[in-house]
Amino acid sequence: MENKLSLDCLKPKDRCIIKEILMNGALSQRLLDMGFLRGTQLEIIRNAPFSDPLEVKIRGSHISLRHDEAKLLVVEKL
Amino acid sequence: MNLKFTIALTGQPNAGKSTLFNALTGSRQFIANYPGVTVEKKTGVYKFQDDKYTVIDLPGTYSLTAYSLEERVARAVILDEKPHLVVHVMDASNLSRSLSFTFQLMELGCRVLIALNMIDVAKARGINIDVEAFERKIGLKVVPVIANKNKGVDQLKQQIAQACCEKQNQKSPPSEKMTIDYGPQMESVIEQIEKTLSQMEDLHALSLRWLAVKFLENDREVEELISGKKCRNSILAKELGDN
Repeated sequence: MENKLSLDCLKPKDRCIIKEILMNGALSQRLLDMGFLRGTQLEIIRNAPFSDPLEVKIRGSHISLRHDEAKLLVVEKL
Repeated sequence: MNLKFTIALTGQPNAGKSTLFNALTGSRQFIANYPGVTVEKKTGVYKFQDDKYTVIDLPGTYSLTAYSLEERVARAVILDEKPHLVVHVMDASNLSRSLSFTFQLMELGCRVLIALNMIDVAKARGINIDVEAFERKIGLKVVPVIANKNKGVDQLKQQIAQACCEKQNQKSPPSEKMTIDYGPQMESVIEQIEKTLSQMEDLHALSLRWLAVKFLENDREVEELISGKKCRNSILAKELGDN
């Protein structure tokens, strides 16, 4: 259970569940719109060269996030 | 009968709004700039059973908050021009992401019809949607279409006509609309804010529940709308103090 990390610490092929979203305003709204809700499962697809951005798969869609944004997503690794 | 109706096409980017717009209106559309902003609002016209339908093609948005320009435009058109019907163009292959938008439209208090687009793409991905069950659950009319192949467009026009006529005759939609339950704590605050807002007569054209929810979300435009009458802090202090 005590396996909480920020999303930017994970590696490709890792799967995790969103535990907390540490942001508010426009950014959190956009992520909510994209289906980033607490309890949602996602998978890391890859890091771009020089590691930014980060591509994840969530609810059947591929979405790219900046590392700065991924840092604010607390997840539990599966 | 020669009636005139206005309908608005809304939905997320890439759901096929403009494709459906062209399928509905043919080549008779023109492009107009919406005043004050750079985002375009396209309108077009079609005739169906002697009635004239003006279609507004809104910019694609992921939700209806005040955070981005296109969302403010889409929202302003829905609130200010009060179309008879709002058609939510939905990507059938990505329902879970689309549904939150449907609920935002319903919360806004407008009459909504769902055009379930790209059902062929969904099927190819192994997604089969039970349209009748979907309609029953959500309490809205759902019309499956394949806009780029012109399939389902006539049925859609038929359903649009029916919904507009019901609106004309002040009939309520056939089934009970679904509302989001935000849980007992939130609901009691929403109810109290609604009560306060109901005393402000010039807000009555809007859904008070929607205003209350947006107010709690710190929506800037809604705050400004309300603050003309009463400042945010005093409302919140009152609502939270009562709790």
